[in-house]
Amino acid sequence: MKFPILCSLLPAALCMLLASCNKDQDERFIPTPFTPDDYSRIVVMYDFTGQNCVNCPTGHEMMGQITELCGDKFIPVSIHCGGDAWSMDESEDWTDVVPGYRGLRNATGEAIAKKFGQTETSPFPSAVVDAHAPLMPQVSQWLTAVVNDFVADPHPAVSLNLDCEISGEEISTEVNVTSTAAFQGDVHVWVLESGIVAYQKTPSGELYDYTHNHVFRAAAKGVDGEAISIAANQDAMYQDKIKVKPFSGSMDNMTVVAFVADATGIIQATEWQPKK
Amino acid sequence: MAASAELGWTNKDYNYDFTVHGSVQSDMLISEKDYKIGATEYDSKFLMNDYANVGLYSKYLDAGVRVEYMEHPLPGFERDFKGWGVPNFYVKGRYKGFELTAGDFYEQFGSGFILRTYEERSLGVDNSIRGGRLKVNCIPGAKITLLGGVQRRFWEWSRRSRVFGADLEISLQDYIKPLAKHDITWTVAGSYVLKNEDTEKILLMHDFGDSTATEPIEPVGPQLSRLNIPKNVSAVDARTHFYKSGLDLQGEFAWKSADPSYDNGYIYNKGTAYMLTASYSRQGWSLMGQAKRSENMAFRSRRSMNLSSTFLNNMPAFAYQHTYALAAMYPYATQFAPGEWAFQLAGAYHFKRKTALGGKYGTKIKANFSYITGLKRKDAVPGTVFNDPMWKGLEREKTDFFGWGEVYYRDINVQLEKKVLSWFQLNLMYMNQRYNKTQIEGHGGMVKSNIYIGDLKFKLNKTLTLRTELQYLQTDQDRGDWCYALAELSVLPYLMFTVSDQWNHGNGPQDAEDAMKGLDIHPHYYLFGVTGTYKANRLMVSYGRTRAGYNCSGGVCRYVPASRGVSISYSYTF
Repeated sequence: MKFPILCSLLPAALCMLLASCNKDQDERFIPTPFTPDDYSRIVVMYDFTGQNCVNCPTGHEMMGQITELCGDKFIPVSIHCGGDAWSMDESEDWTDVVPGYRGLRNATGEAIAKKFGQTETSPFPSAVVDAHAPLMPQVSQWLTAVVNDFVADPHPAVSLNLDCEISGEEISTEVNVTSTAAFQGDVHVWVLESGIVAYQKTPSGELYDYTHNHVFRAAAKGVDGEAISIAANQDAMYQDKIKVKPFSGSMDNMTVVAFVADATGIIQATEWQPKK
Repeated sequence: MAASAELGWTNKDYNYDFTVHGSVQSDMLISEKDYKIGATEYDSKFLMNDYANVGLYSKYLDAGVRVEYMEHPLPGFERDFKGWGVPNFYVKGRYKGFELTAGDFYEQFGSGFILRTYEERSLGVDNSIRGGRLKVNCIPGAKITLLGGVQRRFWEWSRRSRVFGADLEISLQDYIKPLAKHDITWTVAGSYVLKNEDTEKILLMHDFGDSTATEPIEPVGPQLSRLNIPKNVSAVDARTHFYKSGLDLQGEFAWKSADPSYDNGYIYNKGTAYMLTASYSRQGWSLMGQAKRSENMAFRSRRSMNLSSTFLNNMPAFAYQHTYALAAMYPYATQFAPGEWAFQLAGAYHFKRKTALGGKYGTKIKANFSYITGLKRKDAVPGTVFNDPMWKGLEREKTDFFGWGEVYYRDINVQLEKKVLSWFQLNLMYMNQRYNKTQIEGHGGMVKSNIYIGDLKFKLNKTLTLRTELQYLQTDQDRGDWCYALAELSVLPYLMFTVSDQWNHGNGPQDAEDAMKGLDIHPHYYLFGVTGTYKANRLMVSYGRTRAGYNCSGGVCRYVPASRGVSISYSYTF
């Protein structure tokens, strides 16, 4: 009789013992010094998102937090794709269903998403940092991934200089790439737009005047970019012209991002914004 | 297939006969694009999930191995599900009340509150443990289980996380003679599970100027910090089970230590689960009632995982598991991390044959009531989800134990089964359902529906049986009304022909979104199939459309995207 009674008390004893094994609030946070200005690299994050995706605003908020932390060392790109994103093709007009309809998805963005395994049925939002694995459907991992990339390669050998000129709806770009070591990869030039007021589904309801920022609009050199191969201390220049109609009502809301990437992902990036 | 003649040998003390058993299962889809229902292209036209296993069984020793091939898996499984290899092998020896397993095994403690590893192929779930397990049954009235190992996640067995467990079950009737004398079975049991996982870097913005805050903290300037994650998470379970003369009573309690994870938004609250079940059955009728409260009980071997992999535990579903197509359209998924209050009441009564209500052959009536709500949270922030990143590193306010939050799911259904004539049998069902699509799927509001089902079976002659189903789902939400018809002709002993159609003929608020995606807002999901069985072989071939939706089993669900094409399913057991 003693054996079963003793054994049945064991779980209760374990509960009392384990109740003490918890961390006080002050022990849970370990300060991690991080000064973005100590790094010469710039980190790019693709956020695969959609206007009809109820959890995507959480991803946008996280990108905002990372931008606050890293300043201009961080470039977020919102790529609208998948079943919860609406086409920006002007022939698709759903204003009778969604007042002020404005779609933000294009075929190039879809193709970029598919390259990273983000499909119609993937969880949204998801992100990749510096165009390398893993694809992260957990928003809580994004900040850690961005900081890890700074630490992994704080001072890339490649540097970029980007200059642009806007004339009407046309943007002329000139990218100069230099490297202290031989480099082979691809150079990309993307146009982003901020300040687009359009529909967004959120956990607290539907918003028709949500401001969408860093929206991917076009890739001057296509999905795969243009191949580049330079020797150490050599430089290369690339010029493009691209026409983009602004959804925000002003070309001043356009930004241009240039980056170079190889098989390991984005090595270095830079962003140009119109002077305001 | 008994192989003792070839493989066994005996001597006067030991019997070394072996038997061999196994099975083969292959499910294939030859897919077609059908953008009207959202069926997209895949990287291969031929998609298949294949399993083959064989086991050797004897009195003292078992051994088994399973091969799987999912290089081009069926639609809707997670990305990492893809692969092929030998993910399961084991050797099991038993001798005089001791049983030792080395390799891959499945185990469950009690109801699974703190440990349940299992295989469910339709969900893509196989969370077996690879390591060692010892079962001791030689102590009278007691069963002991000890185990340890690493958990499977698709094609990976990460050594970054290790699982250990112990379970002790005592049969009191073996120690208390009056219990046995009165035919009472009464067990008490306790379990312990320890997960030891390497720490990981989880960064967040934290304001160190307000270290006593228990509310969500806005970042005050960029303050980067790392969470101090506990490497060890412990879980304890205690349960009791009493049975006498048709009366069955069960009670179970589980507790989990602080387990910051993706599921709960990396909070430091403990988890708890309570369950009470009572049932009574006599000849001709039965009654069952159960209640469960769980909170923060998502328990994985890898804290930052999501979707369906790496769960160590399983919370039983209190929602009735429907098999009729429209009744199963809105299946409930157990809310592991946010928690829930769940109640279920079920009864059945059999009116005897040759009575006024029983008729010539008897009549059976079944009724079920399921009611599931969230917990009452004092610190809930409207418009945010339970695991919102703002709670990282904090301990949320204690919930009101007896408080109920919003309704997650409600299901009242009544079924009638009656053999009307010697050749005609009918099953009728009415169901009233409330399904909180926002909570369970992320959006869609509360779907309120009434479902009517008639299942008629005609035995035409000795070899031919015709079964027909007519179903109707009425709702003003989601996609509106649906109707479903099925005809199934069985030609004994080998063949069965099936034709069915599920039609969304109604209108609902979801139609506008579907139209914007280019989908047909009144689609037909037709299906034509033939099934053949011969001895241990079963082959099913069908062509048609499959609706996008959730495939659920035991409260665990997998999203299945829409598809169209030829489906082939083959199984063989030996």
